[in-house]
Amino acid sequence: MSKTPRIIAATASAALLAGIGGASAVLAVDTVMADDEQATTQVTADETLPAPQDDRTTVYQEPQDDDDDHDDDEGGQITPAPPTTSFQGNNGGQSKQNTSKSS
Amino acid sequence: MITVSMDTWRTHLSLSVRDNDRPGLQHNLHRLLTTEVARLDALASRFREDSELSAVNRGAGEWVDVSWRFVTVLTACLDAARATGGLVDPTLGQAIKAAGYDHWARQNTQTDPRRHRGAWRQVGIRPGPSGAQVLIPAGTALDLGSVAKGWLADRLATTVRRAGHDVMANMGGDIRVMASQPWTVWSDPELPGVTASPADLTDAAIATSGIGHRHWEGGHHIIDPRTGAPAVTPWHSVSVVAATAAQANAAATAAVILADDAPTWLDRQGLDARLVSRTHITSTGRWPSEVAA
Repeated sequence: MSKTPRIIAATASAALLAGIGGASAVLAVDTVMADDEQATTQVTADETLPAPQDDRTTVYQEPQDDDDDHDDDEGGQITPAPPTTSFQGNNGGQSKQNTSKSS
Repeated sequence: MITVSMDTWRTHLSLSVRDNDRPGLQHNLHRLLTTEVARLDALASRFREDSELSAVNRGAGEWVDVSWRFVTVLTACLDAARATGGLVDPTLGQAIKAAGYDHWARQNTQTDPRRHRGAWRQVGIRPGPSGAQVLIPAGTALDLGSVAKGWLADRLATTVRRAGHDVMANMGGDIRVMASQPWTVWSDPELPGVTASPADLTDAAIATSGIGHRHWEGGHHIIDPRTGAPAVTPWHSVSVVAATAAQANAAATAAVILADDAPTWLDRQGLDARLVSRTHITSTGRWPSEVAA
């Protein structure tokens, strides 16, 4: 039997997360702001950028036993690109900045 | 167009926005890029003794204090393992080291990586006294390298997009686009006689994995977790387009490992991909068919 981790709660507070105990699966949360970041990254008042968000943090994941029965085909969770994607190359020539290669 | 860039991790990182320069924007983009790269390096570099990753690896078999941000990166890598049925396994650090992949910060002694197949399932995460705690099985080591670059591309693009800009983040070939109009990106296998191929993305990503860039005598850096050794594959490179750069990276790496089974696996997931060998080119999904020159 496949053991897919379960989401058992969600919160936006890192402090609250730290107070949760006794769970036994995977817990995911939305939008945990890093505690050492300000609300914005700002150098001038003319053009600011928001601070990056740690938008998904597992809080509990219990180690699974080595001899658990696993289903190696439990994957398939990679999301394809949306229909707006095409393969024509109509919007720009190749440059260092827009090239994907092995690194 | 505004582009800021830096060279680190033996590759090129850039952040581009479709915009005329405004006071402070280029400066802020550069600051965002360099700050986030430095933060990820402090979290997940296996070359640094003082990274959180090195601390976890030194403490394999015990719960180790880490930051919640480290957990965020680790979670992305565990998601990649789950989505690929364990083919992209963040606990294969020892296997990569055993295969001869350059310098590592001080880690545990080597073990037979085949004994630890599926060790990613045994990674534990829990709150700690001042942050989080992570447990990895004794005898294993984390390597978050490839998926972490995709994760960073997604993180940077999302951040800049929230400010209203069309953005493309390229972290060493793991590219995330978030734009109102299509933005052309190119898959380049860097193989003589094979040209680059374009894809137009609005809210999507492309990543390329291959065995040609980081290789050495007798090996390369893509480990097959089923054998614990460098993957035996016909593919010089595989490019995958997916919703996020972390996912595209995971799928591209899994495809290299799956070798001849890769096109079927990619098709089954509905992914657009370009697989290039020294003798032929194969595509899946919407990626156009082509022939090698």
